[in-house]
Amino acid sequence: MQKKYVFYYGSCVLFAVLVFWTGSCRNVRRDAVHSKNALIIASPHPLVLIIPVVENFENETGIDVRIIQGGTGEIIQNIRRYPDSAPYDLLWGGSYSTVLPVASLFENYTSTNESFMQPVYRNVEGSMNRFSDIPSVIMINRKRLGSIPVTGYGDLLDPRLKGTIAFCDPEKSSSAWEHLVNMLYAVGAGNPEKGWPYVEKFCSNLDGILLDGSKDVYEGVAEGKFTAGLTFEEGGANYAVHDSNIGLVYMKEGVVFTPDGVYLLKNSPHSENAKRFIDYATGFSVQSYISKQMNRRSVRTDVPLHSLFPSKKSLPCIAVNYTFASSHKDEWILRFHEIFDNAQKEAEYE
Amino acid sequence: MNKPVHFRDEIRRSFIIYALVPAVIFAVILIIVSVLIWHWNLYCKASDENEKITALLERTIDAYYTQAEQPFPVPPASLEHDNSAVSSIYRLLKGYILKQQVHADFIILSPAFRCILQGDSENRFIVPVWQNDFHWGALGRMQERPGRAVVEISSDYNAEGIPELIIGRALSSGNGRLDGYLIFTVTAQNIREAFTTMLPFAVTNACGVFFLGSGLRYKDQFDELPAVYRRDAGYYFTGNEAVRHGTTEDGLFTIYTFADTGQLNTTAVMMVVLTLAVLALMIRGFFFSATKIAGEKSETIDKIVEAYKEVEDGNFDSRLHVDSNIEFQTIADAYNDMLDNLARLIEEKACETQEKYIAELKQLEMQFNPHFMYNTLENIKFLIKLDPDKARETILWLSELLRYSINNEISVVPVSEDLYYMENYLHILKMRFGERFEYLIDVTDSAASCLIPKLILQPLIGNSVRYGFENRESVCISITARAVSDRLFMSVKDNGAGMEKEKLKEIHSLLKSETNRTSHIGLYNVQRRIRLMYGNGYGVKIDSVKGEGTVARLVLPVVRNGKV
Repeated sequence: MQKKYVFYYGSCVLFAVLVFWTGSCRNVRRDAVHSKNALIIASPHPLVLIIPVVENFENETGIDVRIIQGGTGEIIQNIRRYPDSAPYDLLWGGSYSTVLPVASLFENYTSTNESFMQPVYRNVEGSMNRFSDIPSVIMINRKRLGSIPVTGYGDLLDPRLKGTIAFCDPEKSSSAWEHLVNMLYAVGAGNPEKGWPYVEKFCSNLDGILLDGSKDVYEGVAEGKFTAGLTFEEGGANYAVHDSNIGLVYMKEGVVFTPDGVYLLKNSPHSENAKRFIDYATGFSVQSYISKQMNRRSVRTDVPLHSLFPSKKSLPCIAVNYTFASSHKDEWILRFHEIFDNAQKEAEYE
Repeated sequence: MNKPVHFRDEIRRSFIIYALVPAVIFAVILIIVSVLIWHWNLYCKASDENEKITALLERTIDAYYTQAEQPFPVPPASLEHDNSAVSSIYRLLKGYILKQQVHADFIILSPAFRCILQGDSENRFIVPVWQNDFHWGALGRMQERPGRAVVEISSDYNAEGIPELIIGRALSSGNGRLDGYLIFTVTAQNIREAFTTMLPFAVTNACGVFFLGSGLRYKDQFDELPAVYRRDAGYYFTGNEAVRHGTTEDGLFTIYTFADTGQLNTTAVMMVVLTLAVLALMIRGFFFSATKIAGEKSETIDKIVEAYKEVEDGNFDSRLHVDSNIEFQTIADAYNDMLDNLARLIEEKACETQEKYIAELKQLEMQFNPHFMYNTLENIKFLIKLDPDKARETILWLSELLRYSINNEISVVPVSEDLYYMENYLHILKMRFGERFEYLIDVTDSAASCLIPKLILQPLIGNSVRYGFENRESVCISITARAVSDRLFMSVKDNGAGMEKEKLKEIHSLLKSETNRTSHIGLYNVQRRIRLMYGNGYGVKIDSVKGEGTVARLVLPVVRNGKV
C-alpha cells in the first residue's frame, strides 16, 4: 500500500512539473502598451501623417504610443462596443460632422492651446478640440481636362466629363459625405432641399461609377484615371505640391470647411498621456508641421497657411447646420443611393 | 478489498508496478530534462546574442555621445572660411569615427541649419526647410537645450524617411548664443555592418519604433515592432519563437533576440511520440511477459490448489508432481506423504470396522437357547426309557442341529438348507409337545434358493413356542418364504397367545434401537444380524394381536450364490 502512494505522489509531482512547464511557455500575454507610460491612439489619418507626429511625440515625452488605424466609423463602432472600458485613449481625426452625433462617447477636455484657436474652432462643445481644417475641393487632372473649364459643381454636369468624375459612396467615405452636404447647401444656396435636383443631374453624369474609398478618388485623378475628383483639400494637395498637372478647384458655388479633431475617450486608460497628446497635437509645432509638411490647414491663428492654399477669406465659404445635416445623414444617403440607382437605370434604358 | 485475490494477479501486478512504472517515470524525466536542457541552451544562446548587440549599441552611443559632449575646439563659424580649422575638425572627427566599431557620419550645421561641414560627400542628412520656423524633432530638441547632447532615433532627416540614430548637440559659446550644431548620424546599415549574429534580432527605441533587425516581419505598418513581440518580461514565447529582450543602459534601445522554437517543439513532440510509442511497445511486452511469468510462477501453486480440491472431492488417489523449485517440491512431498498416510489410515479403519462387524456377527450367530438344550436333553432322558429308537432319532436331529449351528465356516445358507435344519428343530419340538404342536412350511421354489443368514428363523420359532403356549393348549406355526423381485419375504406365524399392545410397542422400539438392554435377546439379535449384513433397509417386524397370535415378518434381499 505504501508503495502505491509513492507511485501516486510521484506521478502527481511529475504532472505538476509538466503543467507548470507548459504553462510557463504559454505565458499570459502582456503587451508593453499596458504598462503605465503608454498611449493608445485610434486614428483614420494616413500613416504619413501619423508616424512622424507620433514618433516626435514619443521622442519628446518618452510615452510609448500604440496606433490603431481605421476608418472613423469603424473606430466609433469599436468604442460603442466597449462602453465601460475604452479600447483606446484617443480618437485622433474624424470630422466634426461625424463625431458630433456621438459626442457623448468623449470626455470633456479643453487643450491648453485654446486661446490660439481660430474663433470659429473653439471647443465650445467641451470634448471637441479641433486639429485641422478641411475644405472640400475638386481635384483636377489638368492634362486630361484640357480646355474644359471646371470652377465649381455646375461645371461637373458638362457631358464631356461624363464617366470621368471620381466620387465615393457617401455611406463609405466621410469626404464624399462632406461633399454631398457641401453640394446640397452650396447649390441649394443654404437650403439643402433645393440642392437635390442638382444631385440627380450630377449622378447621371457619374455614369454609374461610384468608388469605395476616398483614396480611390485622389489616386484615380493623380494617375489620370479620372479627370476630376471630389475629395478633401489635403488628399489633392499631397499631389498638387509635387505635380503641376494636378490642381485644386474651390467650388464657386460655395466651399464648406469642416474641421477634424482630437477627442479624448471616456474611461480612457491613460487619460493623462492622452491630454498631453491633445495639447501636443494642437500645439504650435505640430500645427506648423502639418501645415508645412502635411498640406493641411491649421486651426490655429498663429500658424501660417501653406503657400499652395488660398486663404479662407478669399473663398466663398458657406456655413452648414451640422446638427441638421447629421440628423438627416441616413435619410440623405438613402436618397442619394436611390438617385444614383435611378440614373443608372435610365442610362441603361436609353 | 474482500474480493478474492489470485496469486497470479498479485505477481503480475507487482511485476507491472515495479518494472513498468519506473520505466515510465524514467522516460518522462528524461523527456523533461532533455527539453529543459535544450531550452536552457536556447536561452543562453539568445542571451549571448542579445548581450552582444546590446553591448555594441551601448558602446556606440557612449562613444558618440561622449564625443558630442566634448567642447568644440574652434568656433563653428570659423569653419566657413578657415581651411586649417576645417582640416583639424575633419581630422579630429573622422579619426574618432574610424576608431569606432560602428562608423557614423557627421555634419556640422550653422545656427540656421545650413550645412557647414560634412563628413562624407554623400551625406544624406537633410534638414527640413521649415526647421527654422518651429521646433521639431531632434534638431528642435537640441535647439531647446543647447550644450547638451540629444540622442534619439529619428526618420526626419533623410529623404527616404528611414529611421537613424541621431546624436548631436547645439554648440553654444559662453554667452548662450547658438553657434551651430554637431550631429553624428548612425544608420541601421552602419550598425549592421559592425557585427554578425546567429539569431534573428530587432532593435527598437524605447517606444517600440523599429530601428534595425532581420526581416520585415519585425516591422509593422507603423514602423514599430509588432505588439506580439513586445512584453515586459525578459524572456518569453510568441508563437514559435522564444524572445530574449534587453535594454541598453541609457534605455534608448530595446534589443530583441528571437530563437526559433519550432524545431524544438517539433523535436520535443517527436521525442514524446517516440517515447510513447516505445513505452506502448514496452507496456504491451510487459503485460505479455508479466502474464506469462505470473502464469509460470503460479503454475505450481495452481497444481497444489487443484490437488487440494481433488481431496476435497474425495479423490485420495491423486498425487502432486512438482518439478519446480525445492520449496514447492518439499510441499509436494509432504502432501503426498500425508495423502499416503491418510489412505492407509482410512484403509486400516475400514478393516477394523469390518473385523468388528464380523466379530459381532459371529457372536450373534452363536447364541442358542440353553433352555432348548436342557428341555431336549430332558425329553431324550425319558425317551431312552420309553422309546429308545425315538431317542436315538432325536439325538441324531439334535446333533445335526448342533453341528450346523457350531459350524463357523458358513454364515449364509440357502433357504432350503436352513429350513432342513429348522425341520430338525421342529421335529424335536414336535416330539416334546406332541399333539399340541403343529407346524407348516410353505416355501416357493424361487425363495428356496435364496441365501439367508443361517439359523435366522430359529429365534423366531423359539419365541413362538415359548410365548405361544401361555394359556394355550396347542400352537400351530406356519413358516413361509416368498421372493418378490429383489426382496425375500419370510414369515413365522403362530396362532398362540399373542401379546399386549404395550409389549408390542416395547418390542417395536427395541427393534429400532442399536443396542439391547432388554431380555428379548433372540428377536434383537435377528434384527441386528440382518441390519449388519444388509443394511437398515431390511429387518424384522413383529405384529401381534392378544389371543390371536403373533407374526414375525422378515424382509431380506434376494441373494443367490453370493450375488444380490
